[in-house]
Amino acid sequence: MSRPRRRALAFLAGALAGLLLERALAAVMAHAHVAHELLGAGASGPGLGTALVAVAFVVIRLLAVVLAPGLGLAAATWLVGDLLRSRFAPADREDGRSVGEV
Amino acid sequence: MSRRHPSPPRPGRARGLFALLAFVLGLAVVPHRVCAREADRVFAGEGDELGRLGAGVAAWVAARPPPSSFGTGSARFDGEWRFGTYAMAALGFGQRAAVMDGEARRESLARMGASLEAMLEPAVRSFDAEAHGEDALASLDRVGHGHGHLAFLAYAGLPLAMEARLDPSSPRAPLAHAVARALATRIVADPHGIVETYPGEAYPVDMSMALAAIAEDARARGADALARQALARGLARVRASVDPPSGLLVQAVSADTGERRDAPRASGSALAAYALLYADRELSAALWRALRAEQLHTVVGFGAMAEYPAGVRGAGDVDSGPVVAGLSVSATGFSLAASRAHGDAEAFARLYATAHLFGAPWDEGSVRTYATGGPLGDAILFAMLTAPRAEGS
Repeated sequence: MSRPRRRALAFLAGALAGLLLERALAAVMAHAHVAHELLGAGASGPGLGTALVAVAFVVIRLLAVVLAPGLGLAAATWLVGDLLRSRFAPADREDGRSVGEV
Repeated sequence: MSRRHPSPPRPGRARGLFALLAFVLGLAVVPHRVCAREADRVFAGEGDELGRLGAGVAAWVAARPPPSSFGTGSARFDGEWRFGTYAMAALGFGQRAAVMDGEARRESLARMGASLEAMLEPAVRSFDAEAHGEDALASLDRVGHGHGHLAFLAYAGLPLAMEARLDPSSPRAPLAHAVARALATRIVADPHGIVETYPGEAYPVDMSMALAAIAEDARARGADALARQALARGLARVRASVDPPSGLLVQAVSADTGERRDAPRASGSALAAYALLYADRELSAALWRALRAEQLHTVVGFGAMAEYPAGVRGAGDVDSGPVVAGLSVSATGFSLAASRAHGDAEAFARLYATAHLFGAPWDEGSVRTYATGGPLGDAILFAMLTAPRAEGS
């Protein structure tokens, strides 16, 4: 498999993994009442575990919901383009670059 | 002279360009639509999202979160947030009951009653008692500075009066009327029509909530001369607190003279736009128009409210919640109510998408909670998402 194709597949898998991770963290947040614990921590600040889960959740949710669709679509577009090219341009080199590419 | 032939386009570059376009397309089109996919149903009051959120809020009320659950760093605000959880829950259940019938209405009224019972517990209203040196419900026949109690009475008065309108046989109906009369008496007695939230502090948004309680009580029992006078005087005071350039309410005024003590702000204006749905729909609509025109910002389809008008700088506080890049969490959440009430489906969908993104709803069976909401966040969203729509909107 060519390197660009592997990269596109990695993006696609990353987007999917981000979505799954976001759901898992949302479950942890909801079941452990993390928002409640954060509020209850007051001026002393929340525990390390609670804070880590909360920060990780916000970051992962933003990545999963806002960026993952675009990344997934971009990776899919690349793969489709690559498949079409390999079908209609057999002169492409094995490493995935076209004849004209350096 | 040799001619240079342009090199043929590289297929790899073309694919990269298409992939980049696909990424931009995915970013601009997909996320906000995914997050707003329920918005139309919630806007219309259809679907089961509000029912699930109601079940989640009922669970919070039943759990009776202790004051230590609200760690604002201030004992007063901890108490305020605990009280606010029950008051907002009661408003949400009342607003649900108002548009339902049969068993669903009975269930919403029962949950409203449970929320009000929790709200009226002495421990829950102690935040206000400690600030005033007297209990709000024991002070109903007193007037003048130091006896305002809007922090408790305005926000308790509206759901109490709403319950009395929906269910005149409620055991709390006499208390609802007594609270509304106390609020009306205090507005009429003050030379500037101002009632304090805490001693020495006055806020137009809290005045708006008090006026909503008086108006709702008048609907339940019929308006008398005192209620009419208080509404006219109080609404004039709130209108005088509108900042003409921005159209927003100033956040704080002098308890003695009514002069402005803070900037015009979106968090207070948006909550006042909600409260005034019950007292003066036109004034509520005017506030919403100002919020919509100047404060609503949209980023890749997600809507959020700027806390301060253009050219005014300020920080976040307990009213606004965190202010990030000038955008306020509270103003965004409160604006859901005004956008729904005034039939602005487009703005509602944008704001709903943001609430969905950062709130992260979590459904388990027939119960919804927001992963980042906690008791107060869930209750506020419930009250705002069930705000009464204008007829025909």
